[in-house]
Amino acid sequence: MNEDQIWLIDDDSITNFVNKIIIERNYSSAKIKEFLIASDALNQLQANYVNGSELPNFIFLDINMPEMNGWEFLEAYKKLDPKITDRIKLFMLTSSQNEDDVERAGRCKVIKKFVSKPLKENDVVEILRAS
Amino acid sequence: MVYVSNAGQPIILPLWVLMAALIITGLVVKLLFDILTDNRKAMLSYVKELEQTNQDLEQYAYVASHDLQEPLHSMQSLVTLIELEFSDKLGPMGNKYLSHISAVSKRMSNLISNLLTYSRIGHSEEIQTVDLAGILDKVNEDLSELLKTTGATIERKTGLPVIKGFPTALGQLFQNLITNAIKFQSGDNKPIIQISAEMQSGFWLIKFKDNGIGIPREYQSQIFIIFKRLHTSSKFPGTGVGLANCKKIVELHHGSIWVESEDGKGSEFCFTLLAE
Repeated sequence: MNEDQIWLIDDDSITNFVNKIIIERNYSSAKIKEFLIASDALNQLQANYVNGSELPNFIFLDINMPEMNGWEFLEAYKKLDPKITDRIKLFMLTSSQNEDDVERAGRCKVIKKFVSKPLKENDVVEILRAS
Repeated sequence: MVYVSNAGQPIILPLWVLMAALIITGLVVKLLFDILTDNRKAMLSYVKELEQTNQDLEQYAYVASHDLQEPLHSMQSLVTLIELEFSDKLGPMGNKYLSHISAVSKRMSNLISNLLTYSRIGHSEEIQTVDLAGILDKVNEDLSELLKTTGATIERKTGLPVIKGFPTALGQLFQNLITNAIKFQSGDNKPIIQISAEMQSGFWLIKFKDNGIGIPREYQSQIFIIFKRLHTSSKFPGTGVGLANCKKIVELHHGSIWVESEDGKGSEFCFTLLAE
């Protein structure tokens, strides 16, 4: 589990900042990358695969974002080469309290778990232990 | 009563047939009347219920935004106090956390006051005769600095009508549409806003056409939802209330608002306002 890459996708930079610190406190060796725009993360996945760079082990994805939202990201993500996505564990991390979103996340197979914001240290410990 | 048969022979109807016909007609009329009054009663009670729900919702937003601001203000003051008294003991990370708390609580305060403004639209003024040309003059004047720095031009393609409405709200509607047209531009494109009005079956159809970045078709129905934003704040800052306010203002004047646009080809915001 050494040198895992964790990608945070959230349009709010302070949320990414806080989540990065919470993850680092429990997983100091993780390399964390932040994305403010979901489509940037998508392009980066494709690019890293093509040029043989490291792909993330974990992705934390927000739902409510301008431009490409979490659900739109997932639609595009499912169409990526399975060689890219096979190893990635994706978590939906969101402050959306919408029941529909929770249910939809439950039905979506690529989502490993739906984690409600704010991300807590316990969530991180649990997620890492389960993986 | 005398009827004439096909053969031209008069037919005399017996009295009891006439009586029965009258009674049946009377019953049918009464039944129809009952159905109509019942429907009308039911409809009136639905309308009343709906008005009540709307009022409750507005009241709810108003109270919530007031009460939500209070603890937020205390939080902001406490952060300021910690910064003043303990800043030197907190180290760089501690100070960074604090400045982030300040930033997010300020953002939340903005969101709440926007929600409050939205819920109060049309509440603080009386309906009156409004000259939309005068409203546009006033907005032009208020935005003169912005128009100058961005090199934007406003072209009046037609005259603007006089209607019955809420002047402050209508001014806000015009101002939102114009500032949006100026804001959502690519590079240093000079904004051009063309405004026109035409009469269409009892309503004024007013159009604000711009040469901005346009809106992809799939997002056109979402842009009027409060707090909905299509762009990250680094590209186009904002809170996502402008067009929600526009929609509420137009609906206050019994009209509707929509956009006609293609990605990259400018937008035309169209709305209707009830004519006098």
